[in-house]
Amino acid sequence: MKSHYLSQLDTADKLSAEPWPEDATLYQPYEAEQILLPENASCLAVKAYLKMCNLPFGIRSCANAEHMSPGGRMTKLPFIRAGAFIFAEFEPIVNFVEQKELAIGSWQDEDEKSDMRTYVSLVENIFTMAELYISFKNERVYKEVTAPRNGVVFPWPLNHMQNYGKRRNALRLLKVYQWDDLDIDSVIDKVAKCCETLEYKLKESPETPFFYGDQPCELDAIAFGHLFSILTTTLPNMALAQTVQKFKDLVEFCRFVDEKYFQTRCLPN
Amino acid sequence: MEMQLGAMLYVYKGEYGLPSIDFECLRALCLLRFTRCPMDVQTSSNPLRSGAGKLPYLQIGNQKFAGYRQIKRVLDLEGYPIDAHLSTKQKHLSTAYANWVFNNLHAYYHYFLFGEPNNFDTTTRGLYAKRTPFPFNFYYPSSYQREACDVVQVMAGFDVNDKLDKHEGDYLVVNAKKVVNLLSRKLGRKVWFFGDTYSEFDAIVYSYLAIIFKITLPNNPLQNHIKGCQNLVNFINRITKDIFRNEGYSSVKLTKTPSGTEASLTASERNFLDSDLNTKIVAGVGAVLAMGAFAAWRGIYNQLTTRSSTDYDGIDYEDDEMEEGLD
Repeated sequence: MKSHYLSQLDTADKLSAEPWPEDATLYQPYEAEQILLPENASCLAVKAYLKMCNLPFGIRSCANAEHMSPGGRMTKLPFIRAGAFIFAEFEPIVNFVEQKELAIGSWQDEDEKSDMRTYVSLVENIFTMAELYISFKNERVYKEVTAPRNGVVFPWPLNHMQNYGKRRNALRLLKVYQWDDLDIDSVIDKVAKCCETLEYKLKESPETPFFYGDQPCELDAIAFGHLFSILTTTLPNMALAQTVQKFKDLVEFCRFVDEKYFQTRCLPN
Repeated sequence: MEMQLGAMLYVYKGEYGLPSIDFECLRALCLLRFTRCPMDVQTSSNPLRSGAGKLPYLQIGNQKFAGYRQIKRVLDLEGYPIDAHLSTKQKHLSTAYANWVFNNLHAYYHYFLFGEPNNFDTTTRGLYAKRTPFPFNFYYPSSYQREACDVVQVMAGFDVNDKLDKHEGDYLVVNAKKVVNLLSRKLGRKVWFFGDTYSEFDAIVYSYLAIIFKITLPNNPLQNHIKGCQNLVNFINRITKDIFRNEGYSSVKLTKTPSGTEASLTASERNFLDSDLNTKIVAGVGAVLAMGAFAAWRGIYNQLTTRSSTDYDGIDYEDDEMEEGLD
């Protein structure tokens, strides 16, 4: 049997000649009632990336988006349907767009590109794990926000079963990435370190708005997705948001990207 | 300093010339030896005593620090931070690359060492079982397998307990090869990945690749690929030979290839040939003493002395013959 991930790579190859499909659709859970913090962040990152590439796409919210997804390493969301093909999560979607040579960041040389890719994986990893940690390991956040939101689309008693399964998966993810035995202070510490790295990267070119000069790249999209979601989501425990807020340049960067591509203007001053 | 007095790092013993067979142990050893931290290493230990059911752990007095992350924190606090000599930019890059290597090689490592049933049964289980005291050797190797099951499920998206033809190892191999190519290109002709100074990135790359490269598994597609990248092979061999000169261990001497005569020897004879000169001398002296003692006990010395003096004189024989002749 052929691996699911390999076949994704192959189809991306085959598709490279064809133009971007007009009816490309991004699937995600309901934003107001259902979506959780880590999912919101990854959805926002993909949306930012597609907007930066200037590619047209529709957004469809469905309750069972996660169960329709072909699978992925972390949140499995969002996924995009382009023509007959489906890709889930940030990295496969970026690879797909790059195959079509529509991507941003083609001006970077090899070394810069590999550095940038590692920063992307660092940001995705650290922030997703921190978001999962706060959503599922913090008892108060889980009881007051995560469980009711995740279960909202299911009738009783299915909602409890879904919550149980989801929490088990999230804890397993944290265990594999070796985050399960951390306390909240070490999590904050890790997030702060990652923010320091981002801020350092941003300050390398102080007069330009993006991480790598005048043009946006993948790192801008994923950093914006996670930072903006953390800053704008209200939880009973705001430790993550307070940590990010200490980095004024990053908050300013989020405000700039929001203004340029989304115009939601919901970032607190 | 308190640390130098009683600190001891407990790891699994090595094999194939490596200082340890386990990724986490090797990583912790790298921290220790790269920074030249003066601490003793104990290779025979019980995972039960670590408190986490796993090696490595660090013991200072009665305090135990289990796992790589805690050991790293202790070393940072005690003044042996691994990234100390890097510039700020390199420090950030080191963390990012270390994380990226973890993302891309962790699933490969776990699948091919513990997840692939044939590899695990023929090699890895034995390696871990030999390093764990009875009766725990029946339990701890399987605990690694269960952990690998989770890792593969999360990072590669299939279940190890499924039938073998449902295992999607191809993706892991393709991905790992890409990573190795990029690492090879990034290393170039440099000594370390960041030029002249070591980093955490070097430690993690060495720990994954050295084990994958040196271990002999029935099915390990990345091994040949690493062989093709000469600079990575040099990198692995240099660290193994220079930095882990004392810790490197191998149950069979790899330098000697079994030739025709040696192949016919029994296992104990081959062991004897491989042992040190000192041991040979001691064995030789011991053998002579033992034989001498045996001879004394059987009374050979007595016989020799009596025989030379009276009983068997030449004259007596001649007399006998003459008497016979006369008859």
